[in-house]
Amino acid sequence: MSEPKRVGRRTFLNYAIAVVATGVIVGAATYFAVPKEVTTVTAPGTTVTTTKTVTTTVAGTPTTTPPTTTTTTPQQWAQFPGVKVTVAVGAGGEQAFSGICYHYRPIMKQISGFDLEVIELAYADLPVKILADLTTGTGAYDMFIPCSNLLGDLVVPGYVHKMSDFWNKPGMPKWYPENNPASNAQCSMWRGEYYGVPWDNDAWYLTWNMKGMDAVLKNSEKRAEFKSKFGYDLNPYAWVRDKTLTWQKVIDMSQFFHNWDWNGDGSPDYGMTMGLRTGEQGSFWFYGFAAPWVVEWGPMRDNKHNLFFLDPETMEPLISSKHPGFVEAAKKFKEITKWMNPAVFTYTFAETWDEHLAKAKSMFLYQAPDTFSLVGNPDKSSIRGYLMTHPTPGVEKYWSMAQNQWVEKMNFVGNVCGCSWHPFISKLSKNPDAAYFFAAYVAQPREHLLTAASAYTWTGCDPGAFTTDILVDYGGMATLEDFNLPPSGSPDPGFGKDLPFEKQRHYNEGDLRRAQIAVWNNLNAMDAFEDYLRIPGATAMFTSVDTHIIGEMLTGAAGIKEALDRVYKDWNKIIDEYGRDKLKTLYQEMINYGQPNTYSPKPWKFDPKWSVLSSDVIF
Amino acid sequence: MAKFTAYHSFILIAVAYVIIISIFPMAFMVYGSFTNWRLGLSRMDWVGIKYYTDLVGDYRFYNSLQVTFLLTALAVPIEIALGLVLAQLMRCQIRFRRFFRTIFLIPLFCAPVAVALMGEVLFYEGGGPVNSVLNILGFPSIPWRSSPIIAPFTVVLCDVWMWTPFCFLITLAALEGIPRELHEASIVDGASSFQTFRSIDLPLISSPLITILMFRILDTIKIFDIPFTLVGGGGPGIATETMSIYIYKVAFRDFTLGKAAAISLVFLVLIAIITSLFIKRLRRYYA
Amino acid sequence: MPDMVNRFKSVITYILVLLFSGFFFIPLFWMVIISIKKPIDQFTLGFIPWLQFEPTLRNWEAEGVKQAAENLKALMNSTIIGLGSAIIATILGTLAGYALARFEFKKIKNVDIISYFLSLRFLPPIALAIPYYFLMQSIGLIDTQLAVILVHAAAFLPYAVLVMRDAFKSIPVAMEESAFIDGASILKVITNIVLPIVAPALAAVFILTFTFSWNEFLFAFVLTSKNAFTLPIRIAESITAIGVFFYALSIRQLIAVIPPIILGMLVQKYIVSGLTMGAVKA
Repeated sequence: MSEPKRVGRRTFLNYAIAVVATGVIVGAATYFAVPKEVTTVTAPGTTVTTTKTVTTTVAGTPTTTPPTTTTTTPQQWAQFPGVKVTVAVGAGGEQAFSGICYHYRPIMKQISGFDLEVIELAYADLPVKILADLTTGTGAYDMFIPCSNLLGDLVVPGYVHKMSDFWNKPGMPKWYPENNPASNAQCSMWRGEYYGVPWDNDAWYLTWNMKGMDAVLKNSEKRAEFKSKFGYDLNPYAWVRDKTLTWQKVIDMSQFFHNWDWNGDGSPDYGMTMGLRTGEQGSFWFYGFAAPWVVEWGPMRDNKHNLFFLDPETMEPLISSKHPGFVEAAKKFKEITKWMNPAVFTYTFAETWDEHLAKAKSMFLYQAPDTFSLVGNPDKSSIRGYLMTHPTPGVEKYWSMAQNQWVEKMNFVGNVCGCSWHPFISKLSKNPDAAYFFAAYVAQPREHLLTAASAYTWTGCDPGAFTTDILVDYGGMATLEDFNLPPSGSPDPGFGKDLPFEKQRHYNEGDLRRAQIAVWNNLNAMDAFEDYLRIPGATAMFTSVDTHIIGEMLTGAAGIKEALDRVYKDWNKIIDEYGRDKLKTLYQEMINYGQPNTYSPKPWKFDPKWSVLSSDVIF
Repeated sequence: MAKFTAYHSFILIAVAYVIIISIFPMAFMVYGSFTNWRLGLSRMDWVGIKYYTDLVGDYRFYNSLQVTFLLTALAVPIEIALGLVLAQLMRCQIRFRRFFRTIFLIPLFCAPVAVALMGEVLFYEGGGPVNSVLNILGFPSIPWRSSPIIAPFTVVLCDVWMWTPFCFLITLAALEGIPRELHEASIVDGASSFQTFRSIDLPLISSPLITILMFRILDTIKIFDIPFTLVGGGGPGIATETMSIYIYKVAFRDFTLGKAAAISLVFLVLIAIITSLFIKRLRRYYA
Repeated sequence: MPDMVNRFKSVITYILVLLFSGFFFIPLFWMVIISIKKPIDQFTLGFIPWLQFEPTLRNWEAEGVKQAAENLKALMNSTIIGLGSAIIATILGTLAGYALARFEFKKIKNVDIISYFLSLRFLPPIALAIPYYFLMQSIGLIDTQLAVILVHAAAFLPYAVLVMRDAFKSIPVAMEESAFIDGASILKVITNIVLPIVAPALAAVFILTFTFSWNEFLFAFVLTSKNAFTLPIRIAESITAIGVFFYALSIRQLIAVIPPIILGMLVQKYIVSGLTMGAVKA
């Protein structure tokens, strides 16, 4: 019979293929299994000098004083032999915050003896799994690193530890809350207490491709074209200098740069790009974008000024079709999507970076500050040295709740939109001290600067959580050397792909300076500041905005007013589910209702040497 | 008498297993649907039929019904028809039949999540393979995943890719079970191959066809992985938000577990009603 | 003339077969290509290594060496869970299927029992996932392989019952009856006489249940966190907060797809014949 023989041959072939494949894989694996150089651990003897030349606003003073003694003798680290700490973190593989965990895992083992087990979870599932774990008392995670908007859901039911329980314990790494600016501190504080260790500083910034922009600015024909089309001169750098860069101008510029080939790659390019995929961090775009139309500065925290989300007297959501500011903002938001690649509704961060940095096909990007450190990496970007950064653009007129009318004045509003990821420690943990050790270790000045500079891998942890990350020139304590850059004004040494990671130069000096100026301006020099919503239920509210505004309004499945009203209804439902009065008390505490507004604008910074690449592009 | 008890015990084991595994969740869910159970809060107070009445005016509920129906009505017939076509092709005399059959089976072994992610790469609108090939052939790029109108079709395409092999497999085996003599007889009688297929093969394999039809409908109604992963959780907006995705979102994004339970029960009833249309056919076949 | 028509027909047939083969094969091929592309090239079009892009083994290194521990754990968990649920479902399904095929129940009709099994497939898995989480948590089985095995077996049992029932029905009762007359017990009859005949169906049910369990995502995701996670969960983890890491995805997908494919190729013959025993009523 030929049947058994044929089967036999096939089976043999199958086995053979499997064996060969396995052989190839094993061979390649052993080739790469050559152990890498052992990570140099920050020597325990690092002395920390804390000459405080801080000029930024002091953090909401914590109610328990952290240690202020500076150690000049080698530090004895607390030891946790045999302990295992499980951390739940947003998935990011070798990069992003999971990358931070993987990087510090061997270091923790070496200097303190405990194992760090890393569980990566997809962005949207992180809060779900964390809350399920805490509610059922499972306690599978000792610590977690979620989005800061989960703060309310974690702190109010009492699921997480106060940081002050730990920072005086012997052998713990020291970090300096007084270097944590108030606008960032709000992301990890509640009622004056730190419930998480500040790591990340997110805000939404506008960036543009200076290569393309400058080429057009130097072309008088193109400038004339802009003028005839829009009625005013194209002068973006002057607008940055004079603090007059508004969304309308950005929309016009996006339209101008849309659909023709300005980067010379042979195919038409785009004006703006954003990561507007439903189910991701889309709601942050709306929060940052819409704030200038809505948030009006006032000297006191009352129910008419400085508000974006809810009315502190009635807990009525402000986002609705009844609020002309939001209606106008939503209209403009929808308008600007016309000048983007239609595919942006499938974009997450990665695709926007691909479009803006790698392929350089979009002139503008409005997004989280991760762009700053990515632009310098030749594996990810082709425009190192050409990134212009600006905080959220302003508006020419805004709606005043106090006067119940439009006010014809420029309004710029700063934000800390974005996740601002940072670690919390679960009360169900059996090893909270070890968990705190890890969290605090990364927040030490030197470690944090390396992390925020993406020194060892791209971390997405952005500078600004501590003033020690910011350059001295802009109110901080860091120098160019900390970023591995040569003295100011030297030619760009390049990324340094072949260097060990601690020596790589993730930033180009120009990009770095422009970024840090924008960070300073965003946190300090805007006309008003937007709160970060972190009451219980905030995560659910963000999802509602994501579904209706990003998902339905922008794709045309719902009208503008309809979408805003759906958000209004959803938010009311959520507030009622949690208990309106209970939430009211918490919200009023969150915004320091009745107290003077701690934010007051400082002078705008602009560096004529670094904010423009040449003098002939500013008029 | 001994036989009697043994058969009963056989069934009993299987039924008992299933009942034990499912009775608690069902009861929990039924109870939960009448409470204000939320994820993150440890309270479960009775609120009556609030969530059920909420559904009446809930546009997302109706949208999810519509989407689910659309996806199922498109995907299932295509899968079965394609499966039939492929099975017929495989019966022809072609070389390397075994090899092609193996290739046809590849999608069966892929996890739906992975299929959706593969789709994401292939359909990437910023310059992915599919659109580029279309462009080369002179067609415009299609917004596979960003258009609320086209996205459902992309989901259908991925689902068809995944499940046609299953239908193909069953149909092929059924077709191969048809005795040769019937075919030879009809050819002698002068019937064309299509007529043979229509009058002889189809009736004979009607039973397995009905079976797969039922399985596929029941499965596709609950489709979750592919639209969830492919277009960002039922996007763009709610264009591909199926029943399962809506329940998932209510439970794990809005954290309203009570409402999720209520919606699940409503869907259960709906599906039961739809399937009861099949029960009659079932009874005839299984009696 | 008929000759030319035949040639034409077979050419069309070949073309169609090739088209469909391409349709089914290209996504997997693309995964292989992506796994050797540099991350910055993820979204570019080249598919011929060295000619159109520079291949790299860095992704394989990252997944196969640096993250090997997690990937291997997932592989192991998937295997154990798959085998466990396939075994339970097959055994229980065979017993129930035999009973349904050979015996007419009086109190509750056969067809009602079958309808009951089918009705278990009505509920969207997501609805059950939530209570299962709390159930498993309260009995301490959360994040264990056993929890997932139990749930998967229950989920696929209806298929097993129905397919085995079909298979048993296709065998003439005569052989068993003579064995009963000779005094053999039921179990002996089943194992010695009937099972060998329906072995293909048995293999088919086992393989398919194994594959479905191998690829199942929702229950595995809800019920596990750090100990018992499976390959689909690893695959889903390549969706990060900043985008999909296609290079990680492609490798994990290849790891996840190769064992079932090899398994399937080996028993291909059986799946085909086993699934439709008794389906065609000649």
